[in-house]
Amino acid sequence: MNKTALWLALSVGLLSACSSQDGFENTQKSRLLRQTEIPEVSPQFRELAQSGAPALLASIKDRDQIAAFMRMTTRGGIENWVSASNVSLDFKSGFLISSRGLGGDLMSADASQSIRLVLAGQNGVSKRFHSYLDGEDQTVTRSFICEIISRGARDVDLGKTVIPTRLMQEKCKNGSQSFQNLYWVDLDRQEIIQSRQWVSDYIGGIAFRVIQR
Amino acid sequence: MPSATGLRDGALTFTTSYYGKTLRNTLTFQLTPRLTGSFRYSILKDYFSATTGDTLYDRSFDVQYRFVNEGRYRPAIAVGLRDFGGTGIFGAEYIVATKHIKPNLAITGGIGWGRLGSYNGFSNPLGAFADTLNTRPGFTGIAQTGRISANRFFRGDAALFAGVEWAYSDQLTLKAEYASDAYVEESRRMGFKHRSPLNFGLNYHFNNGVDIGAYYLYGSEIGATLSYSLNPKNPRVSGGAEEAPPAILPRQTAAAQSWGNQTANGSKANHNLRSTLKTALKQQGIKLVAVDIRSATATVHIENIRYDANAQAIGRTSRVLANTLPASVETFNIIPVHHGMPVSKISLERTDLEELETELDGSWQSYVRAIIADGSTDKISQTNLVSGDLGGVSYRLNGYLSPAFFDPDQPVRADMGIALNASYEPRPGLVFSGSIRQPLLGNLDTATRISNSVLPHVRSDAVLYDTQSNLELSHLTAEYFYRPGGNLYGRVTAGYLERMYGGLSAELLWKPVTGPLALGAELNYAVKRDYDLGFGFQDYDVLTGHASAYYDFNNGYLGQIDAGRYLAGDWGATFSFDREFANGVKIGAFFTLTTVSMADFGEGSFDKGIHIQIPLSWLSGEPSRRGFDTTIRPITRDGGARLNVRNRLYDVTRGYHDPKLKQRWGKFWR
Repeated sequence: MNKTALWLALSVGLLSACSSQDGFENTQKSRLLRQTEIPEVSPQFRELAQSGAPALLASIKDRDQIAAFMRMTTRGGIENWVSASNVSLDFKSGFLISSRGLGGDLMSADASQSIRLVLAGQNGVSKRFHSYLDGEDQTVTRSFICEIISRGARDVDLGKTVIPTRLMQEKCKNGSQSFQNLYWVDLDRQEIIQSRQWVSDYIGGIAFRVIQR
Repeated sequence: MPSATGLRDGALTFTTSYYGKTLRNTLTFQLTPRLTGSFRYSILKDYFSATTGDTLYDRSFDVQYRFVNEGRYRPAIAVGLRDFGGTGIFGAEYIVATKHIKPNLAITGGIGWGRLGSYNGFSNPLGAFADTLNTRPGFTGIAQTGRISANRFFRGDAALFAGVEWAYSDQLTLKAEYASDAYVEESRRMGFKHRSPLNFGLNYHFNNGVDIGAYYLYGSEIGATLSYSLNPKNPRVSGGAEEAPPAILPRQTAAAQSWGNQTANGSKANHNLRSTLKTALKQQGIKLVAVDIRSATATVHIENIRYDANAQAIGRTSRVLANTLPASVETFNIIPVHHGMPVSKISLERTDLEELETELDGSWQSYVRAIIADGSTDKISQTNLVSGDLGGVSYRLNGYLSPAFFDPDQPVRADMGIALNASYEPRPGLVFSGSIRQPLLGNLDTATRISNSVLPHVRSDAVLYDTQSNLELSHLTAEYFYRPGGNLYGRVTAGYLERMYGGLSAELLWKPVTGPLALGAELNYAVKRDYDLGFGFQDYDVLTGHASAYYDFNNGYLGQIDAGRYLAGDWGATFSFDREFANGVKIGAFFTLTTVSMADFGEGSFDKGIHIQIPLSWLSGEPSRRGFDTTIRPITRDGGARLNVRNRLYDVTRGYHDPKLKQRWGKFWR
């Protein structure tokens, strides 16, 4: 909780410490590969932060990285969120359906069957589809069979308020891969306020939590 | 000892090994799943101890073809030629079979000729077919190097060899073999001791592609080997690690956000739109050259500065257009240009973009719905031109590395320094550009071997250029690019064309925007430049040029034939074959046969080499249009030498055509 507040403060505080936009021919620096330096903050992120856009905290477990995301736009039920270093994530009803800028990105996903079960708090079986780019930029699609169960009521402390939720678990596998996602669904608003979602072999899982501002 | 297994398809392996007084450096490439090619540079110390006491520096090529794949009971079987075109010191032929008894246990057996038939040999079983196969002609002298020694293949005594390989774990492999190579010459000349045909070794594999090995050889020698293998299909980051593209905004937001005007008619609004577009595209590494909006259609000419995957530049341009243009614009025509010359035209519907951005199969669907056309009639009109930041001037300062290989005095030399490039584009299609560079450190100028070529010294004076120049003018040219008609591309270049030649060059290319075949013609008048690489010329000029045919097999293989007159006035043809991966890694080989006789050509007999291109994006995971590009020739002589003109049209255009666009369309939404 304290860490959350600290990080938001930090990332907003750093908004003033940005470097100039690169011009042509300037090979961009690899952002997430060097975390020791002060991250660049995109002007877009700064604007969103100042305008009070909804915020989200994300932490990539395997990389020991943590970053704030701001909601940039919503189109056709899909929300686009961006970070200060211009990584972007798309969510549909709280489910991550694409990432850009992390490397080994999830190009897109169809998780509609899982979304229905998780938001309704129902146990059941769903199919889930992910697409990625391979080393030769060819699209490869991975299909998963998922088992969804409710693990019961949990209270989530978001710092300012404690929210009663239902914890839903989604266990997915195919011939060679398996992962487990967790979703904490706000019982009043039927929204996911906290989750842990697997993205790709390269990225691993990301933990998300809504930031109350 | 050979094995029939070969490497993983596409693998490129560099191996260096040392034993006795022999150092071998080998570059091996799995050109197709069945065909393996190797280039070897060997240093045999004291090889000429009896005469001059000198070391032998030897370059040789090997090929192996697996004509039977391993089955459940059937072994893999391959045929191979070693050193088939060099001095023949390593010359051998073999047929080998390998079978995995268990996944971690492989046995190999085979029959060899030449070196591989020199220990415990017996008379050639092929002698039953023809008596001439019973004797193997000897090596007749250095003048013969470089020729395909077909008159020796599979001749003379044969011998059997066998081996076993056991993988203790994924990392550690143990090997034992009975070798049929008697090391006759090494024993006689270098004091090599061949006490036993049995060799033992172990190999340790690291997950980063590095292997180290240690060997006990022939009952007398200890050897060590180090190899590094890279798989072109596995770049550092699959899909790239570059920052996210802008998400497509709801259409009303897009129009309102950008310039807040419903009609594009007012000149002020038009001006605002242009500058908004220009800025937004520049952020994406794309230069806006011209823009034209007519009712529901927007046409933009762009130059892709940042992305090696051109489909990604098209994708990002279309996102920016969708987020910037008035809601009434439905169709986007995106015309990539090379210095103002339209290279193709990609038409996209705005509603398709909005629909497919987050679709599971969005890349393929957007490719299917895109219309890729020729673009020859979409010339840039003066009224639509968007002014550049510096009025068409651009410059770049960067470092360079220039290596030189295989001088017996010092096998690897290199210079490092800085280069300043500048260009000025007064109007679309016309470019003045120049490059100067200054070596800062290196030893290229320490070479002393002066060419002994009997031909005009059109390339073999490289050493004189390196030793007599300092601050050099790499090129200084005026270029004009234009579209003479549908499917046609033209280029005219005048000035200091390359390091060694100046003059005039004109090229015409016929290349449909889809389809495998392209044809080209190039005519040049070239004058040899002074060794100091200043503005002066020498007293040698030549009319040179080629007719070229290019064929893209659409499965990653490219073939090219260039026939015509070369720099020394010789006539002939160059044959090239490349394996190109969709991510831009390209490895291939070429050879040139001309009217210059093999004797006049000198050492090597004819021009040949291998070509390796690795994009920076493959190494870094970040998009870039730069990369490493090297041609390795065993020896550079004067026969079959071509002019190196910049911006040859085939390479300028094919990236924006199919199949290249299609191959990387996965990056459209990245």
